[in-house]
Amino acid sequence: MKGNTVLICDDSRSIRLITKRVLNENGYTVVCEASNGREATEQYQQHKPDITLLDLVMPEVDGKQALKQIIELDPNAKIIILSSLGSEQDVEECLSNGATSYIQKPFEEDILIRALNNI
Amino acid sequence: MATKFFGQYLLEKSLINKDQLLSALNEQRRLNPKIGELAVIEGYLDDAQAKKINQRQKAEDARFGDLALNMKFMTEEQLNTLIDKQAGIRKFFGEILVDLGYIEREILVNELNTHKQEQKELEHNSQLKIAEHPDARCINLLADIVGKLFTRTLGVPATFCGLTLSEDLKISASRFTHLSSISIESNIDTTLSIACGNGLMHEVASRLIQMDLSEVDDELAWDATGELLNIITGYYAKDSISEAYSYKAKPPVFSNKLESLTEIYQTVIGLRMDSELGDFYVIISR
Repeated sequence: MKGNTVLICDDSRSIRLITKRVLNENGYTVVCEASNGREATEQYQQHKPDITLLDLVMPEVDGKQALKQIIELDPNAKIIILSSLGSEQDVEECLSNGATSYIQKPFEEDILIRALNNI
Repeated sequence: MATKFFGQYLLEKSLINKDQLLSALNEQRRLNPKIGELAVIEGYLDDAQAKKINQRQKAEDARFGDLALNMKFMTEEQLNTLIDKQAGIRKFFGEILVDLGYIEREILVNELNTHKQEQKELEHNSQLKIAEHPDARCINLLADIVGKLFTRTLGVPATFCGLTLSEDLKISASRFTHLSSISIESNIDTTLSIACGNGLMHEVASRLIQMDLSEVDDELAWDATGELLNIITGYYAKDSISEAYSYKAKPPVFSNKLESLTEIYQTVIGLRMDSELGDFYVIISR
């Protein structure tokens, strides 16, 4: 059965609230939240979520570093980047480093859910 | 002095008070249904379709009606009927003020003419000022991005009203007590900021998170404003920095010291923006 547990990592409480609402409305369960890359890696190890939503611009450890750390821990991790950055370089770098998908903020609910459902 | 919407102009001239302005704006919203609302009332769309179009609007810079056509939810004939209907029932802000007894018709007509004339001159001067500015491209780009993203993320447009440079900004923006800034590291390091009042930040949070205004605390208001700036920065960096250079954005920093910008940076350009939620500045510093 397809897994539906999600880790949300974003330094913005607003984005965590919006994302959590959208996920809950669409049958996903947010099992943990993180507000920087270091916390994301720790939470990932602890909860092993089916899907991780990862912001890029964050304090302490940013999303690109966290992406590498999580993929190193679990090469099969399903990570969707949800970021305000959207240059070709950013997208290419993240996808090359193991991200499953990349969505630029502000995101459309349908697009986010489709990306999750496609995993 | 910058361009301003008519309600704010009347407020500044003490021809109406704050409560009257807010009540007239509410009345205007109540009396002037949006195309989406009319479409649901007329039975052209159901609630789910309207919601889908609203969601799509957050990701695309397009009008509700155009999206409804693209998504094949409505026919062109239906849309035209709605546009005619909307125009037929539309009530202008000034008329509402008169109806509510907040201003006399004669005074309204005089002030409307004066306001129009002032706006024309200001817009003309503003355009001249931008055209002469060495950073004209960046200024136009940022004004465009902020305007579009306000509509997409908050559902209200924000319009560019004029430029305020360096030292003048300290005076003009002194009433804005909150400053949110994001630094972009690239070939030319730049910091983008939003300077605004507490009320606008709370409105931003309420609309962005779709949460009741009374539930928004100060911390969440800061956070949401920072996130809006974060999104603006992403688009600005993508379009303003040449592909030959990489860039890195830092998380938002909050302060209440606008003067710190003019002390730190050589070039500080303030774009005065106006919206239904209030006016604010977006600032480019280098």
